[in-house]
Amino acid sequence: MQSPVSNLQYPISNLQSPLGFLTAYVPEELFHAAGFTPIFIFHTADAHGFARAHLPGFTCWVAGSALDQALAGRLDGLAGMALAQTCDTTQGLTDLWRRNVPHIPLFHFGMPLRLGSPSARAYLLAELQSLRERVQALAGRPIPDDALRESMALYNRTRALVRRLYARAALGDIAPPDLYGLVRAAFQMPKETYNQEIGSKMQELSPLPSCAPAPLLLLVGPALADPVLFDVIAQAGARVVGDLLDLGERYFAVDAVEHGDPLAALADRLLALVPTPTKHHPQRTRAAHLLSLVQERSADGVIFARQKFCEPHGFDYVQLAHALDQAGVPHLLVELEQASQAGQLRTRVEAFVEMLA
Amino acid sequence: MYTAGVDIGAITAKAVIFGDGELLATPLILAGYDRAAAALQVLDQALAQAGLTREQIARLVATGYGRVQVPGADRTVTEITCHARGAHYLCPDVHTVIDIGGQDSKGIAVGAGGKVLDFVMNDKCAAGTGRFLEVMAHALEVDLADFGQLALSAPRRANISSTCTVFAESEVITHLATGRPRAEIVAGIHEAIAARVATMVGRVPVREVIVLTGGVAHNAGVARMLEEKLGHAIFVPEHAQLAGAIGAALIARE
Amino acid sequence: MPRYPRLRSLKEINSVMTRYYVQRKVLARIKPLAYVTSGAPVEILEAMGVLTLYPENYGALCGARGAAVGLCQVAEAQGFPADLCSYARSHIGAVLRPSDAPLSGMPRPDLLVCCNNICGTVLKWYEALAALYDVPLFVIDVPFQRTTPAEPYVVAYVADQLREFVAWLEAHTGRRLKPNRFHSALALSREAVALWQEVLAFGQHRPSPINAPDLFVAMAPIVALRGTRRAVDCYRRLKAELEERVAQGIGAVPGERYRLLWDNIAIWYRLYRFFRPFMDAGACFVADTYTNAWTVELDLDDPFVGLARAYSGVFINMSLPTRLRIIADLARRFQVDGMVMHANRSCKPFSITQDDVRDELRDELDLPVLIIEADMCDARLYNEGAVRERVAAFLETLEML
Repeated sequence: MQSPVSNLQYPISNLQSPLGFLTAYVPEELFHAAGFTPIFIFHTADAHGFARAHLPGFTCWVAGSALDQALAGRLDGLAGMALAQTCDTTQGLTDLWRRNVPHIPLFHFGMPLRLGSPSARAYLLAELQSLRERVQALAGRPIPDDALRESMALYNRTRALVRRLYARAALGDIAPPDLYGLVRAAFQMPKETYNQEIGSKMQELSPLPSCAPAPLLLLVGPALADPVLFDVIAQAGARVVGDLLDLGERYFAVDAVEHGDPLAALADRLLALVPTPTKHHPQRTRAAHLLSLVQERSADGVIFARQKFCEPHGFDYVQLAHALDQAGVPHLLVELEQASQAGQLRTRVEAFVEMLA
Repeated sequence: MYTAGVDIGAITAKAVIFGDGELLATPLILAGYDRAAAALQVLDQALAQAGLTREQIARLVATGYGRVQVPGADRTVTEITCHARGAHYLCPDVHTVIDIGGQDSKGIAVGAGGKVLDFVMNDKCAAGTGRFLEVMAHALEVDLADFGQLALSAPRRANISSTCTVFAESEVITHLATGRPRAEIVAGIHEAIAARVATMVGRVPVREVIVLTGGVAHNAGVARMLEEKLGHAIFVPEHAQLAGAIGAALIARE
Repeated sequence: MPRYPRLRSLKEINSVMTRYYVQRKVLARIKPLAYVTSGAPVEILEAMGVLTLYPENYGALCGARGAAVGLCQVAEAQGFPADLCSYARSHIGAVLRPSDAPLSGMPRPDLLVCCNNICGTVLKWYEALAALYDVPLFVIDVPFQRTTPAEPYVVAYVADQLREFVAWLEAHTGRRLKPNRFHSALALSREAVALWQEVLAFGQHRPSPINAPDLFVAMAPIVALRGTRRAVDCYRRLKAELEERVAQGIGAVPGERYRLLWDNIAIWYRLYRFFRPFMDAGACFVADTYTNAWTVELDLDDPFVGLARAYSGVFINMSLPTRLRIIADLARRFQVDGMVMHANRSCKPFSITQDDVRDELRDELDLPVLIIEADMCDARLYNEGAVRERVAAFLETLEML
């Protein structure tokens, strides 16, 4: 099944001043306003054998692959690399990247752990200012407030478009590989191009037949999970109507305020997002959000797509699964790794879909 | 109406024909490398046992690791759903199925009519599967067929603590080198696999009646030690290894 | 005469810790009890008369008593993946099934206090505890120190949180933080830390009167009794005993031939056994990065800023270049001949940069380094045969140098 989104490839060499990033808390607009093109460094199934000389085997492949690609020279076109403070592995990657990939300058952004506290906001503003200065130093020119506001407006347009994608998904009207192919593309190309092209791409997708009583699923997990998973879900006859993936629906749910102090706008947007497992908000919990999403989308079940060795999602799974159990919502856990076995995924997902039928 | 279920596992291929209210055939062969050929072969044997022709089979459901390679299947269903259904046929009061196959193990919570309520699987790691026993039997030069009874005959059990089969094998060799009686090492091996499976199954809350299916079910050592770990009695039906194919044949009737 | 002389003070420390757990159980009925992480600013709690217990210390205890594997399985049966930190799995297992746990588990907490200066896992562990116990949780965010010293706005952020923390404690316990008690707790903490630093410095002697496993036993008070007089007393006695040894030329490893550096948390279920082959070959672990983690001095002039600085400066919260400087400095001051690093599955902050540290020590300092893959608590991950082989090969390397 050839989808119109399957060939949305943008090699790094085609991009202007590409800036790689990992984690769901990098303020992309700041880099964009400085003239860089932020792109997420997604993990690939193939390993070049370099990462494991530095990162022990008991770390997730989402981090390992980025280091592996960098050491294999696949990322040489990057002007820089950014990551936010999130998990222990990312923190370690900061050190390893600085030491072993010195030709790609690394920006560490100290996103606070506690959301919803005034002291955290004050710190976040100071940290954004620090980042702004460091990025200006690399760009060799200042980042004026107006440029920041323009970048935020551009990104807001992208976010609105992705929300439309998810609105279509909520109706069960888009196949999972197409949905995530288009969401993923937002992370891999200039936003300007994406905003122009996504409209036509969405129209090219034929609406799905609504006859079959396909189970409606939500996905939970780090990054944007794994393409092989979406194929398996589609082949098992299920639809994804929403998600709590770190780079999924939640990432595009909140816009940045386009007037006033731009750093404050960036800060407030980051603080307003549904937390990923590495962040703590005493009142706004992921469990509550997931349950309301289940209700809102009339989801039949939830698939947790965890990366092996991911501790934040590993612990979080237990809390969320418990909340789902109490609400009587069926769920499935699949563990993804460097080379996830499609056959094994298929058995689990199909059995789950059979269970829901 | 006659229906057939074919279960192509990693190691064995099973077929079941159901009709006239009973099981008419239950052959089992090695799956080998050519799964499609194995499927045809085991189905032929089943037909011969039942005295039927292929045309008389109204519907065929395929399950197991190689289910998409079964020629002529009307439908494919996962072994989880099939084992639940099959175990329910063999034991209508079943609430938990524990399936230990050659390369994977599963825990299935079963509801009314043999419906799957929840399941958990281990197919990533040899420990907790038949492969673990195979590797150890080879290391100890014991026939797999005698393994279970040998385990039960030991007064004590050697401690095998590693989660990894490769590590555990080196533990076994160390025990041998220090002169530990073979039966006690075998008992330790059985305890290790039982502990591993019990931990996994605990995630779909265990409720009686518990039925053990899959090739390893007939290993009395594993069955008894699992009972110990779970604190519940475990029922091992005569056709334990055929539960998947039985379930498939029954689902074919729907 | 025992082949390897045992320090009397360690026996005393062990009984102090046994009494500590027993007393907590009793006192928890009348005083508020908080579970805290090992890097939390416990001086505040001490000053307010809030009892503290350390799930990490309890996890180590479970490991040392061989109870960790069973408890981990209890947690895993509840859905906690087996690749999570084994302290967390052991402790959660003990919470779920206290009947299988050492000391029948710990008493229920009234409060939970979590500080991420040691790792990010504690946040999730304590969130799980908050759900299990349904008690309030306070999180102290100590940013990763990517430059040392930390920028002023970072220190201010941590100091602000500590003030918030005091207000939260006052609201939840009905107790007030009185300045004189605060000052007293800070002073005692500082004194204990200074004494602990002196204890560690004894490893510079030839022969060293103390070996790393001794330090792993001796460290319990600096972790769990920081801010109390008892910790000060423990280390005064230990220091005196070590002075005695030095005066008499007694080494922890008689006939000391090799001096080694240890990295990462101890292998609790092989606490002394792991080190026997080394001791038998005359190798003494004269310094380590784990017990050095509690050596940051407190500035008493501005307590909240002082605490913020001290607790930001723990070893595993600092960047690799800083850690390399500390390790190189230890290697030089303690005149080590090699290093053994525990690649501890459960502790990513400690373990992630080990390959690069090994490369640096080998290339820049010409030191042989051995990396042992294991886990601090989960004995299922310990491959006796493989460890034996690697240790033997490493000892041969030392001999040939």
